[in-house]
Amino acid sequence: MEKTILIIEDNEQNMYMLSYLLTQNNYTIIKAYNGLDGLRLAHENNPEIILIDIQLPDMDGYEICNKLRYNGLPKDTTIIAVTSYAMGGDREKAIEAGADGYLEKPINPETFVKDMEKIVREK
Amino acid sequence: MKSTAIYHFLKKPLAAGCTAFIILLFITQYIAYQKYLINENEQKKEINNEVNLIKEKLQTLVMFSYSATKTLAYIVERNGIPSDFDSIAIELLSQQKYFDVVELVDSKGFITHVYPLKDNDVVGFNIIQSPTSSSGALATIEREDFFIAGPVRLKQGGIGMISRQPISIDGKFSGFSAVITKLSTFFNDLNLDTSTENRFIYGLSRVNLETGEEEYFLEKDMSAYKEFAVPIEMDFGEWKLYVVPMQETVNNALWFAIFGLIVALLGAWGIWYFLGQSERINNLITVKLIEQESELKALYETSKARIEKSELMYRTLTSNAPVAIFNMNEVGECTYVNEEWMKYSGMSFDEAMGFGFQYALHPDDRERVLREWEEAVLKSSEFKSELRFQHKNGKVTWLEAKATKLSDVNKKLYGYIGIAADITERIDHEKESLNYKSNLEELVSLRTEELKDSKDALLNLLEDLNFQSAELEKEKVKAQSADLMKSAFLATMSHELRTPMNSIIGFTGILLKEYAGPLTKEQRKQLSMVKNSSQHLLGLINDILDISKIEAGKLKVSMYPFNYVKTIEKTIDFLVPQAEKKGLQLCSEIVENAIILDSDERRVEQVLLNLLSNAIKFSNKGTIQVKVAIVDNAVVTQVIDQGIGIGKKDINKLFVPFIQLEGGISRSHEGTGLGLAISKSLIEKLGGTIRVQSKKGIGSNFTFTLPIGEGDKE
Repeated sequence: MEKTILIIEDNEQNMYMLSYLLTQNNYTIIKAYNGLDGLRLAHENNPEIILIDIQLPDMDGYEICNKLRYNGLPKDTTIIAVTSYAMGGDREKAIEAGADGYLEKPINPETFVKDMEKIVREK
Repeated sequence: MKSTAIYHFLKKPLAAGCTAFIILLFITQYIAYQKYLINENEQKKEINNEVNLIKEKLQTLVMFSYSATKTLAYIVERNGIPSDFDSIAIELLSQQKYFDVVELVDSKGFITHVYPLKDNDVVGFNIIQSPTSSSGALATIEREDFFIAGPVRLKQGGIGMISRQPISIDGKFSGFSAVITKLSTFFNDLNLDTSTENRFIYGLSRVNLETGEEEYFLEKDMSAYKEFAVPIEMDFGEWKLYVVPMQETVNNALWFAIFGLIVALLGAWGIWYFLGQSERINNLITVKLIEQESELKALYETSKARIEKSELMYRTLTSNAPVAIFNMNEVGECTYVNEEWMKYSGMSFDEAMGFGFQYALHPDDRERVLREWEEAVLKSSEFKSELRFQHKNGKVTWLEAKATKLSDVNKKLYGYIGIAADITERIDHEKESLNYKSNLEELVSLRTEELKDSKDALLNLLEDLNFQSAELEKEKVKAQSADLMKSAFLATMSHELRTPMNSIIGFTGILLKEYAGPLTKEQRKQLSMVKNSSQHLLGLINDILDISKIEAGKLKVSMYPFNYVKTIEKTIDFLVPQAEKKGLQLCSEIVENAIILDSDERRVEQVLLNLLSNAIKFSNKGTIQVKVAIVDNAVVTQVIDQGIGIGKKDINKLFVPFIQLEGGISRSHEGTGLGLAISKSLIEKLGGTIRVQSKKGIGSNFTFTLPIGEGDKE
């Protein structure tokens, strides 16, 4: 059975890249280009996995993590923060905000899907 | 002599008190005794009176009862038993209020008539056969005459006497009349009469003629008061009347005696106390007087000593004072001069006394000064003057004289004390200084002008300096803001540069994965080149970002425990392909299976990656070794290569940013030259140190030490 992934990402190219990569790996994609849409779509579709870009134009990514995690989302949903390299303390902040793990940008297409599935497995 | 002895004896409080006590006691006891005697006599008299009174009343009562019985007997003797017995009885009873019952008894002793019948229904009762009444009745019959029986206890209650008169008709005894008198009521009345004062107790007894024993009536046993019994002889026997005075009368005297005793005691105590008090007060006054006297004496002594001391001080002071001192009295005569005065004048002490002092004055000043002095004395004001003394040898001294009033406590003037100081020198100076003064003024004005010029020059200079420092401040701010701007610029640019890098690296990777279709050999080769270049570019960008953060002091580390051995293995695994490409060996030498390090894993990994990359980069042969050891709660990591090595002169430049050694080499080895600088900053930020040992052509040894932190070693 295909898993659904909600991608919350404002950059068009990144969104395309992530969705292409994941579609190729047999995932169903829901796209949200800002935080509010992300929250709404998460509640409407109950995706198995949510990928959140931490740097969004309208909302802080950590805040979205927090809201998703503590506002009625099923407990088995995996929330993964996608962070930029070298932003000190991003990883811990993401975990504290309720994310199950984090992946680094720029993504490595060779390892990205493997790394993501590892986080889902280990959750 | 004897009287004085007694007088002295009585002055002693205790003796006086005892004497007073005895006297008072004697007086009061005597009075009490007299009172007792008087009381006793009076009592006796009173009792006598009382007894006589009662006796008379009793006799009257007997008389009345006699006449009543006699009357009734007479009526019966003359007219037989009357039909209207009741009305006759009422008439008889009304004669005496103590009469209670009227009876008629027949010759055989049966009571035939009784009035009043109520409570006395004794008709038909035979009194001769009654044990209580028989004796009286029989006595009447025997005596054939009036007889009073009793006192007896009445059947109807109380005490009574029964008067009986025999009735003889035709010389033959045919019964008797009887009247019962209620004695208890009679005595009660007597008691009532006197009860206001309640001074007597009454008792009554009858003496039994046969046995001589007394029978007491009125429910009182009076045997304790035999001495108060007064016999009342009746023709039918003897009664005894008791009139006993109440106890208080006797007690009065006793109370008086007790009261007297207390009065005597109080009097004695009072005399003792007051006599003693005056003596005590006298003693106190004497002691106080002696104390005051000695105090006064002491005060006098100290005052005297003080005055003498003061006098001595004054004389010493004035004698040795370097000024002339003099005393004058209220009329302006001199009374004292000191040694200095005599020195200026050349006069002796005696010569100066009285008005002699004026000859000390310089002839030119004498008249003026004396006038001023006279004026001061007349007005009783201060004296102040500048004057000259002329010594007998002609020497002139300028003096400034001043005399102050001396007043006593009542503000009455009694003299002057004066002082005169030598001002000859001053007068001389004044003359000289007048000359100097004009010169000085000139000089001062000149200097003032000069100073003003200097001041202006200084102010100008200060202004310049202020301006300069303000400029400098501006420059500083500018420089600081430029620095900040540089950091901000670098951070922003790095971020902005990295965003397109995401696309380039990401899509190159996707293309190489051939999701979109298979690639030709050339395409793959070219895309790989794009990928390598972009990854190199990303490394540069990351280095710039790090160094800008370090320089701005914004580098943050987050400490978490992690297994350091695993980190090393991971890093080596990552770099093995690169090393093998150059024909190099990469290996590690670690004794422990796991070392838990409390540090920032990513940063430590970054340093390891940097050092190993450098080692690969600058080696062409041999082995690259990673050695780890634990020394004193710290982890020491060595990265040893057999590469080109570093010359001594260059070693110091190694950790400085943007410098890569030797132009030629820098071109042949790609890199920013930031790696070691960043590594050094990171290691220091993590609380460790980094150093290098190297020999050109032999190899290098980079060693860094990190604290283990709170994580435990396993």
